[in-house]
Amino acid sequence: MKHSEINELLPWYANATLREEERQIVEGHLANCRECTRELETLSMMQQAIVDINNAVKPSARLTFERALDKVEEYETAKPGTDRANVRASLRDWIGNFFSGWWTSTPLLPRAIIAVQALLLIGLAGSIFYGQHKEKIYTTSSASSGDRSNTRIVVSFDANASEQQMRQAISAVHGKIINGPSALDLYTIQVPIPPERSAEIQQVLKTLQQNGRVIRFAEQQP
Amino acid sequence: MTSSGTEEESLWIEQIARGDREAFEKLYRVYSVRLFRYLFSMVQEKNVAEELTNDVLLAAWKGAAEFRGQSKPSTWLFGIARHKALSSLRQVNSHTVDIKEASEIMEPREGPEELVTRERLQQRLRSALQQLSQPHREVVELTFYQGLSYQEIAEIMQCSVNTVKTRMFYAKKYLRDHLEKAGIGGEMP
Repeated sequence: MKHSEINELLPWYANATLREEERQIVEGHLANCRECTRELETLSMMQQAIVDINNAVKPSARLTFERALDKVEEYETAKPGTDRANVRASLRDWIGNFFSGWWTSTPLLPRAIIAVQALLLIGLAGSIFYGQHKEKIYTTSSASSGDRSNTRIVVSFDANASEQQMRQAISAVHGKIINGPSALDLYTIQVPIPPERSAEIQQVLKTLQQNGRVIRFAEQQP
Repeated sequence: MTSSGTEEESLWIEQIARGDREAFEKLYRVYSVRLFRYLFSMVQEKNVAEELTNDVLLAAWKGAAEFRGQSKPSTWLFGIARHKALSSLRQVNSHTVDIKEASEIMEPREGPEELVTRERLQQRLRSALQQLSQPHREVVELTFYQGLSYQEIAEIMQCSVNTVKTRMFYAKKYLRDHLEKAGIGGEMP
């Protein structure tokens, strides 16, 4: 390999991504070429400076997994075949049929009144539907309030805890999230222990409270 | 990235294709900041880079089923990121200077007595990088910050390995000249 060809490889020798045979050729050449040795020093210095420059660029608090996941959930719910997409499609068909039928032959005033009522109805249905689905990922099920075979615990997770850490912390006590997050970022979890077995519940609370990196607060729901 | 790391990441992508959110989180934790910095180096705006990072990861979610493992997951993700960044740049008037033009831009002179500090080197280099044309800067960033091989860079940039090497040749020459003009790296070859 010629000097110029080896010189071209130096940036990738510096970042250690050359194939083994190329790396050996470059190393052999460096032992005898002062120019390439000096260039490698310069490239290493540049590399360090570029790493420092990039590391100084910090993403804002907006770059979170939760945001990325929101986009995924939004995409998933809009996909054809999902509940929400089916509702949208049915609504679209219904509106289409509605307009192509008797609507066009109805006088203006009744039409306006019906349109306003329909909009209000759609808005209400939408808000109920959205309210039920938006926390989908965190709400796995809901227990009836009179359930005496389970105990509910209110938990607050550390802001830096990942979803995986949250799941692990809850599964460590065989719990599942049944509600949350609330406006105060509190979650309600349910553990399969009847409320009267207080010693076991205290043990569960202790386990959760000891996981301070993930859980900031855990108390039995009154 | 070791080959076992690559295999693990390929497995995450398979799991993502089946709708596994935990695998998606793993991929996110490993790549979000790397992708953000790469995108920032291209678009030069934090908000845009953040938005694009999420777009890239969503595209990975959507396209996971089509990932055949012919390239490394990192190459695949940076390829998507590049595509997103270029689409975004097409929508705005990006201010990049051609490498020939850039070489004529003179930096203000500073006294030779000034010490060459690491901070000053970074400052000069940052300014020089910004004056490189997009493809030249990309090759530099992908090599020195993202630690990719020239073959991977060629795949991401959809060009030949010779083009990558040529771009690097001119970019490093420009960066070296720029630093020398500023009195940094007088001993450089």
